[in-house]
Amino acid sequence: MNIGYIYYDLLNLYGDDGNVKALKQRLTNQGVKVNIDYISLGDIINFAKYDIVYIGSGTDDNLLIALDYLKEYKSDIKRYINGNKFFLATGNSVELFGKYIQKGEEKLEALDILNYYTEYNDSRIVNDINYSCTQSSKNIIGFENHRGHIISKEKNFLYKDDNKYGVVYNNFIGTYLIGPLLIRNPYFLEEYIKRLLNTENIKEDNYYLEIEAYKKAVELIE
Amino acid sequence: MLGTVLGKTIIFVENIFKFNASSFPGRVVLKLFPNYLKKLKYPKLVIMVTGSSGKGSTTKYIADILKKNNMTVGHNVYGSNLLDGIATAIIRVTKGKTVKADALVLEVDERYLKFVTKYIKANIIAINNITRDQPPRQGNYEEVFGEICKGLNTDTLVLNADDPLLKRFEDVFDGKIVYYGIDKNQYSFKELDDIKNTAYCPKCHTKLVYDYYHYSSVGDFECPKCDFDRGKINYEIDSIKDNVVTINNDVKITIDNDTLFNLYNIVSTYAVCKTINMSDEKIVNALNHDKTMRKLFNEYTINDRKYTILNCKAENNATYNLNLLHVLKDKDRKTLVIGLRQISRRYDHFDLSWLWDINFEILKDNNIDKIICAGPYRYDIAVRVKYAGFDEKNIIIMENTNGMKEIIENQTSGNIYGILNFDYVEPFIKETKGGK
Repeated sequence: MNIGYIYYDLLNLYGDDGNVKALKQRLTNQGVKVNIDYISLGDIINFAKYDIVYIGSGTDDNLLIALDYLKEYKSDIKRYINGNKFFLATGNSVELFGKYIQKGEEKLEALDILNYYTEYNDSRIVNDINYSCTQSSKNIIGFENHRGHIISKEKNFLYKDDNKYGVVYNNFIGTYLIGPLLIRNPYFLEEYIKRLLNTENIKEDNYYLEIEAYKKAVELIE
Repeated sequence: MLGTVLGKTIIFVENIFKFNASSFPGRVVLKLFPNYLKKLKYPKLVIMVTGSSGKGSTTKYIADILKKNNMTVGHNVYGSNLLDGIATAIIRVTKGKTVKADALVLEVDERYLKFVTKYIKANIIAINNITRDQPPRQGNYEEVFGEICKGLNTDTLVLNADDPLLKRFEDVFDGKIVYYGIDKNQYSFKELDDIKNTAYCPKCHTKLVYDYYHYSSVGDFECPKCDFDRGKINYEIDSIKDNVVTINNDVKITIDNDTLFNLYNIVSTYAVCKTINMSDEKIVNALNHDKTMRKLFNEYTINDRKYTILNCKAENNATYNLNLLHVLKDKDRKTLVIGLRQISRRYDHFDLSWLWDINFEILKDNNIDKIICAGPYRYDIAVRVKYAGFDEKNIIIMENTNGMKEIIENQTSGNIYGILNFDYVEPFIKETKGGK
């Protein structure tokens, strides 16, 4: 499997690369050969090559720089997502794929691929979260630290109790959760791996440490 | 002035009850007299140090040097670096309306600089670094940069030239800028697989090219496309040998430890003191063998095994990364203890993403026997270490330090390195030294 890690050296505020490490490790444990392309600004991105594309969180300025560079690939990304391929966007990068980003008076055109837009708050939204999730049998835990939130007219929510902080469309998952979401949520990761491999029958893998850490987090965030 | 009398009275009373009066007196005075700090007459010399890490040690070095050269110094020595703590430190040395000290040396929180300099103009503001630190409070390094920009009420900035992020102050500050840095040395890296932030040119977004790295994106950089580069350095450490550093090929200072953090604190201190026209002799005599960093760095031997304590700050990957680099200077067999109790004293968040910004991968194939992960977040630490390529069989998980001495002695080998959050240092030392 080919993983494209977009702008790993620009959008990586909070240990985001843990997500790519998790995918690589778990897929390798399933006997899948994994290749990761680390993509920098200005690199040519061949979306057709990838089975999974990952993009993480950045500072406000860096997010807009990324947006500038990604606009060139708008139709490629659209084709990729509409073709049911796997795309994971964590942190504020979820904002890139909506119609526009509204920051006070300023309206910035985004990639306009998915049917939502982003509004910025005056203050940062800082929360530990523990949400039930439409894509996992167990709750998702994690941390959010951002200014924007999504406004969507469709019922394409990632979280059952909330329509502002996560979105699902085909195999695109966008969430404001930052950092190593796939590491901190072993149940979600296992289900994600099953979807990636398109089978319920995967080899048993050792999630002991991850599950203990998850249990502790659930207990703390309750 | 009433504020001064009130503040001093509270300090006096707190001292009687053995409270550590580091910020409460200031808080009360500022509450009752919001303009108190504005009305004071300040000494001619006001030095402030800010940045994500190292500001406490740097101000201690600077204050020590000034005191050893017969100056009276007002200094927030207890590390209370918000407005209340700074006001308290000032009240201690104030009589009536006059701050009765030859100099103020203030450690100032990055976000509070703008509030402090609203009342007090600085002669020098030294900025050590801006790194990922306390995300729930700080947001990110770009926001911290913006906050510091709002507080640059000073004649001179003293900046670390090795950090590309700090070079951006040139665009927003019109006064004099003095740069310090560390030249290529035996601990520098040609390549470092850990380039996370600011690896791009802030002017034209081209990837910066490095001649060498000290850590993360700190080193000798230049933009291949435009004129952005490390530039001219006023004060530079050229070499480090047997705990003697040489600055500008001339001045030699004997230091207590050669962790990169300490080297940066030393050269930052030197740059500040040179900027106020102190002689090399005065600086060197005062700095030689200074024990300021002892709190952050501690060594002892038990049963022929060497223990090194490296104090880290949770949520600040730079302190961990630098300490890991320090561990790797030791080529012998090693055992690591990684422990933390509380992520923050300031807030209750449980975000551990910062563990993933620490480059634990560099520990691979470096003669490490066991890694002990301890504290309430032991499993999160263990997961991180496992993903860095360390065999799960060699990871020992402990709820706290109880019984750790026995585990270390019976189940591990080599020199012991404690990579410990500030709240784990004491319990660990107590446990391993046997409850003394």
